Amino acid sequence: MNCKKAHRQIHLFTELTSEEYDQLLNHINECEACMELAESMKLMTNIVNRISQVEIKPLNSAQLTGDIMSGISKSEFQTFNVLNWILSYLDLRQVRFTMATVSAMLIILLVVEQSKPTQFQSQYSSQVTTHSLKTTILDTQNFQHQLQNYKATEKFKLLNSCRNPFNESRYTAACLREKNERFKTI
Amino acid sequence: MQYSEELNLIKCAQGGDSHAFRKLVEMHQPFAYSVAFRFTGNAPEAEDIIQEVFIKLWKNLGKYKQGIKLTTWLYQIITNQCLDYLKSASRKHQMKNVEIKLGKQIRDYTNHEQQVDDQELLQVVTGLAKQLTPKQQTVFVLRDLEGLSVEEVCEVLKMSAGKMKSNLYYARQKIRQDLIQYYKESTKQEYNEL
Repeated sequence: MNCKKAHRQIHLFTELTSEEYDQLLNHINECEACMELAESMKLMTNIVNRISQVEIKPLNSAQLTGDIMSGISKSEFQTFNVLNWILSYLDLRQVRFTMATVSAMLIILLVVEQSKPTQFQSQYSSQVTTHSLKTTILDTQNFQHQLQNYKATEKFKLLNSCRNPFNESRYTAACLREKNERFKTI
Repeated sequence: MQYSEELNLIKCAQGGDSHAFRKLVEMHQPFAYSVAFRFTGNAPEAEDIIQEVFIKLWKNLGKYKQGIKLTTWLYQIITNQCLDYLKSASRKHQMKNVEIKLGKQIRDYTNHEQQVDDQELLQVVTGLAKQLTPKQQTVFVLRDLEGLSVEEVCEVLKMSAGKMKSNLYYARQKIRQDLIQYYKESTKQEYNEL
């Protein structure tokens, strides 16, 4: 055994096998430097053993227990119970497998439902493509809106021409009747 | 207290029984405090750590599995909490203060060597252990001061036996060298005073 190995083993003498210990002792008996190291290690071990026996207590044990218990609030107790129950339930392998299967089935169902055409689309799907159908619907809506705007503007123009030239808040009744009849024909 | 009795308390506490948990706290608080104090060397900080440890224990009690000793599990929680403490930035800031206090203690020790009791010696070694890396300090506290076996230390720290021994080697070497230095300085001071 060389001194380098002995140096390490002296520090780890508590972890040695009996064979290693005997080899170390043989080396220490022959080597003065290692003997000196072993002596200082013995001193340190004695001190460490001495202080490991020292009883360490909190100043007020009951107070510390009280502080610990007050740190755990009632709400935490309740939350813990519910969470604990859920976690213990989820911990079962069968439950986890079932939930995974149900989730997968729901995803498949969602995809299938999304890919299905709507009732309106399916009614016209044989005649027009979805794209052209959407365009038609949008145009029709736009046309209806424009038509209503046009009608309102025209009616206003027609009725406006029936205003009394001397009092603008009044209209000529005969004129209104006539214009209204004309408007209906639009 | 028997294992079965402790197990009953754990089961009750898992069900939300705070009285059962209080009994568990009362049972394990002394040893938990002792471990925390060996890390910090400071009573208020050890108390803070212990409070955090038992709150964590309460929150995670649902994960407790039968067959594992509660003490081993507690050692794991305490060690992790203490490692967080040792690694925290605030601790680095506090290190300066610790060194100053330690220096004073060493001087006191040299002046009244015969009167130094075990408590003061404990403070000195705890102060020296603080100079180690967190892992080395943890291994030193658990193996040498708490007297855990190699297997127990490895289980608590989730560390291989090789790594554990390596950390223990460096820790003991540093403590030994610091203690020699400490004794040399105290002897020198005594000689000068004479």
